[in-house]
Amino acid sequence: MKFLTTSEAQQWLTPLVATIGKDRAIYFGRDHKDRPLGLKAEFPKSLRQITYFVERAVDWLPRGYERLLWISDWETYPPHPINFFELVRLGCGERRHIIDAPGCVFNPDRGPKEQEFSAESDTFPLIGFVMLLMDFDWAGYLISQDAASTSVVYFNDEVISFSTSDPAALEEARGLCGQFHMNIKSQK
Amino acid sequence: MASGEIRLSAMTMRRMPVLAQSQTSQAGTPGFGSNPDFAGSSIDQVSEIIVTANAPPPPGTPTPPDNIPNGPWEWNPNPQNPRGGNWMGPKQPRGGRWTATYSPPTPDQRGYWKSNGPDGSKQWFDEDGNPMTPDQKQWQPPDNWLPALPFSVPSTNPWWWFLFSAPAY
Repeated sequence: MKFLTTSEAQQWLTPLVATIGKDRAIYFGRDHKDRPLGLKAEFPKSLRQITYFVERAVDWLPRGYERLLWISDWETYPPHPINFFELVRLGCGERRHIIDAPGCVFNPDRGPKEQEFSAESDTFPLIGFVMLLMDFDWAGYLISQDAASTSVVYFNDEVISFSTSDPAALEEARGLCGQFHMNIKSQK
Repeated sequence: MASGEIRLSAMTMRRMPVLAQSQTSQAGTPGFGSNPDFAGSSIDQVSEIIVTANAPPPPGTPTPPDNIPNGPWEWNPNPQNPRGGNWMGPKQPRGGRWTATYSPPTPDQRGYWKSNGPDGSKQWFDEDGNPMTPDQKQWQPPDNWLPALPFSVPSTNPWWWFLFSAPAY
């Protein structure tokens, strides 16, 4: 796990032909609208469901590639979410504030696709971070460095978006949303 | 001391007679300062003055429309915030305040305001402060984009309405 500044995250995204905008949103070479496949769904209804769902959403990303968690929007009021989040980062060895290092790269999960749970130790904090971001109603991207599929999970305002160029992966995301009884808002 | 406060002690004011005079000269009634609570009082009867100032938001930061409820909104700078601070509502008797945040337009969404309540509730507003649902953030014409008509027409195509409606003389 390694925390990244904006410029470092931009460098990580370069092979994906993606750029970080002034609003901290990530723009791909082809606009999100033009990306081949995508699905939007409302968050699961209960916190307990989110706990399980996030593990599945992280597992949805392609195996064998680094994963970037990019926090694109967060709140500083009320203060307890950001203070707790930064305390967790401190526990991971990161002393900088989110605004100074909003990105974090996690080691690839190299386990088999059919594994029950990831054995990669970096996956646990990644799941935990995403759970906190969703609970705090912050916004962020979870991106695989697999340039072939450019798989992205984006969460914002209680809506989660899966984006990929792999039809099988999109079908998997659709099944995942169904498993957690999530309201699918759009699909293409 | 809260952020943005300057406290002037009585001793400071005695050493700065110009400041004290300026306070006196602004008084609507004889006495010290413009606050009616100080009417008839002198500089020696005031222990300190607290001057509060609100830092302006960063250039280009939009201001919440007045019709977004739970205001008035006051800018509260915070260098850790991605927007440079928060628009915050008045202090509540207990717990936190309402906040309002603006999300600029993206390829997927129009620009909109979101207010967050101290109870975790959320409300969404368009850039003019009109309430909207979360789904209306998307860049797509709403289902009811044609104005409601008092009678049925052969077509909902706006060109039909434009061509066959009576001219307004």
